[in-house]
Amino acid sequence: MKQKLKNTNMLSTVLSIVIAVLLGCLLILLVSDEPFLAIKSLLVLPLSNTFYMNNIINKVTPLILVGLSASVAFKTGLFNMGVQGQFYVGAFMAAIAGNYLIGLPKGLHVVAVFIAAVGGGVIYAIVAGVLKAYFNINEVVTTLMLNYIATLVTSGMTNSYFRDPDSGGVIRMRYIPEYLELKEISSLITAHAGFLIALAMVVLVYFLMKHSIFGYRMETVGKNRVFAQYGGLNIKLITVFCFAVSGGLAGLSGSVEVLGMHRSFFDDFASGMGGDGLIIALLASNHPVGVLLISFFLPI
Amino acid sequence: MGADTQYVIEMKDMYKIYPNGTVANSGVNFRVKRGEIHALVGENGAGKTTLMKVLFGLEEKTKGAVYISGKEVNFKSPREAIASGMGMVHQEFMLVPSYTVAQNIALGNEKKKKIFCDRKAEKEQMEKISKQFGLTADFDEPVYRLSVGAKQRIEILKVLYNNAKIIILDEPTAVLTPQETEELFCSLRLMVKDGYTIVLITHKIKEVMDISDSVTVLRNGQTIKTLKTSETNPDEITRLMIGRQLKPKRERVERQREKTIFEVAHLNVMDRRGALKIKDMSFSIKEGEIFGIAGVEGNGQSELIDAIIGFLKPASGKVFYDGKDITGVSTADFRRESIGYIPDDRNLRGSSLNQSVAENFIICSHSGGEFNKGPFLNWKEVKEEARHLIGEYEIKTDGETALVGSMSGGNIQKVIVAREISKKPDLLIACQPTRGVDVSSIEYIHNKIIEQRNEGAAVLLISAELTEIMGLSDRIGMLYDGELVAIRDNDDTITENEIGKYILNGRQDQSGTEE
Repeated sequence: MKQKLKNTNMLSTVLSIVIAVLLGCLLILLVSDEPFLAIKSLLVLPLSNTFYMNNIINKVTPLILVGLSASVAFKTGLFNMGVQGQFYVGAFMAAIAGNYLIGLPKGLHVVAVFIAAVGGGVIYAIVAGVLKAYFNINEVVTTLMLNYIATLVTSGMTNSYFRDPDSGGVIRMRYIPEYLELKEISSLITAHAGFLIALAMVVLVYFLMKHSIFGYRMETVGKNRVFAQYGGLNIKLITVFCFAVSGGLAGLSGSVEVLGMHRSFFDDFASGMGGDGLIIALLASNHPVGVLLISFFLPI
Repeated sequence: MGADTQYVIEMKDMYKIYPNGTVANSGVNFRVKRGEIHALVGENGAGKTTLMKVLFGLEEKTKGAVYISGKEVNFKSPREAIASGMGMVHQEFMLVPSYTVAQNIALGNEKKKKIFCDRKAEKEQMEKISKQFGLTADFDEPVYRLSVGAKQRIEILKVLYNNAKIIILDEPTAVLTPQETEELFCSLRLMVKDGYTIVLITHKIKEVMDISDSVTVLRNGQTIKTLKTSETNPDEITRLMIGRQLKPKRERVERQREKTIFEVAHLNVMDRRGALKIKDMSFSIKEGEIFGIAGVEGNGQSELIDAIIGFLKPASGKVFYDGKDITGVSTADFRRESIGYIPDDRNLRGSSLNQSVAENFIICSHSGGEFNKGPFLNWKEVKEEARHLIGEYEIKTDGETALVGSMSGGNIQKVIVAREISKKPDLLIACQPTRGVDVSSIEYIHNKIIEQRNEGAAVLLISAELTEIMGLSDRIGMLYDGELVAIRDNDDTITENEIGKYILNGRQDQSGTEE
């Protein structure tokens, strides 16, 4: 029975991807002068050489993390629509810590940057978590509103206090020092090391959800809140904890984008990230490994 | 063709095999005469509901033939079944809570006056049906304000309003109080007199004897026998249903009781709206004793339980467990005590349908020892223990990883009972432990409760079934409107009638019965 359910889930996921690709092809056929070249460059070219491949890995890296972020919340039956906001807070905090904690020993600085980013995401998500758990305010509403605040406040700050005076027409902060950057993994795999962080998180989230006490509690709350309550689980605490994990992953994604790709915080530089995370989590049925696989489809 | 027209429903050699391989019906023959009440009985999982779903077009048959009034039919959807004069009242009501009663009844079959609904004509017809069959209803009340019994009347009205002549009722009395059941049966008798045909799915043998004209017994997806009710007796039906005689009740071991395990003192509880639902209630339970609280549902049972388990804060009064004051503790702390709790709402509070049997077993024991490796769960241990419990408690399931939602009601209840009893509680709180459960599961669960008592546990049993209360309890408290109006030893002097008087009318001061 369970096996069967899993299979149909899998099937619907694969089917939705296939349909999406076919629709895309149809659209190209309708508008393009050279449809086959276009389709070829859409489907085949990205996988044709290592440069493109590495580009894709770079694109996939933050998606995996936001996908995990959304899936952790979904699994607990919570709709964290605020992945976008938590991502921006994380990215912003990473750039701030990267630029303004100079003077710390380099190793310590790296750690500090990640703590700032993840911590920013966690705290920002906890706001919605506490409102949900202790005041029963719908998390969809709060997280969506918090997204606006995050986008606009980081934008405002980047436009004013923290703007790099030498940035010309581009609205961004100063570039972070070079030693903070996430380097290429190897001479062959030129994608940045953020990918390894993302892979590590896939494994970590898998163990958290499938094998830890907290994972069991979160899943039980997600499957049947009333049962969880009668079983003596502290739903309020679990809700806040779940938001913290989800927000932390989103914040980490933001920092990886800053440290690996952009080397600075640009005004509203990744506006679709939160939505992508939600889509990935849904397509992957909230399974961490599924998130990893689906993330690869999105940029292709 | 060639079916006999005296039968309004005739199902020949029905097979229904679900895509996942579950065989629900394998060779069922079912015939209902016009104008009779025909009871369809069998244990949970015997295939009653599936058979009716096939008849009503909700499920497609695998093999077999269905005749309605002698004509072969093959319904692809309930719409076709309704068009041919059938109606079904499901176990779960399918009403729109925010609509009024009248809107719900007319839904899908509105009378039209040009492009508008003719609400007046609709209502006239509803009132006519309502009067004719004694199905009272307040047509302007929104449905969410109605009691369960009233909702069921609405469902029946809806079926009648849609001009059904054949009415299928799926376990209609599972949610009703004894009086409501009597009222329902009155209405059914009136309907039969008027030429309607009624199929009653049930597993309560008393009801079969009370109201039906004929009875068909299903077991393991097959017709065992069709009988005239007047020519059979409860024992025969039971034997046909479960295929064997019921085991005698477990012996009760009488013992010296010394320690008081559980005590409630002057407890007052308000519900969330601020209405006082439990009024100055006091009782205590000693080791090895079953204290039964009899009462019609809605007289404060759920508030009492919620206050004990930490869901509601009592307004005043105390609750003691094992000498400790546990008044107003959190549910989490409550569940850490050696207390087993079988909730009345099996599918929501008692189990998580979309999780596996193993996951359901460990809700109270997943942390703090046995099943842990540091902060992680030792799934191997968990599954092994689950397999052990499935075997020990005779739970029918595809295994410890099967979803609880795929199992029958009786087996889900056994999962809950297994979980709560296997922790060897000093106090067992059982609320409606056998509601909607088949005969052999009832027998099993009752024996388990008595076994706990014999081993020295205190048991608080809350039930609306008087036979259950009288069959198990050492002492009985009569609950009426939030008060224990009487507490009596359960000896030979007490009768069902007497308890009934207390729980229906409250205190019996005038009649001179001592309290």
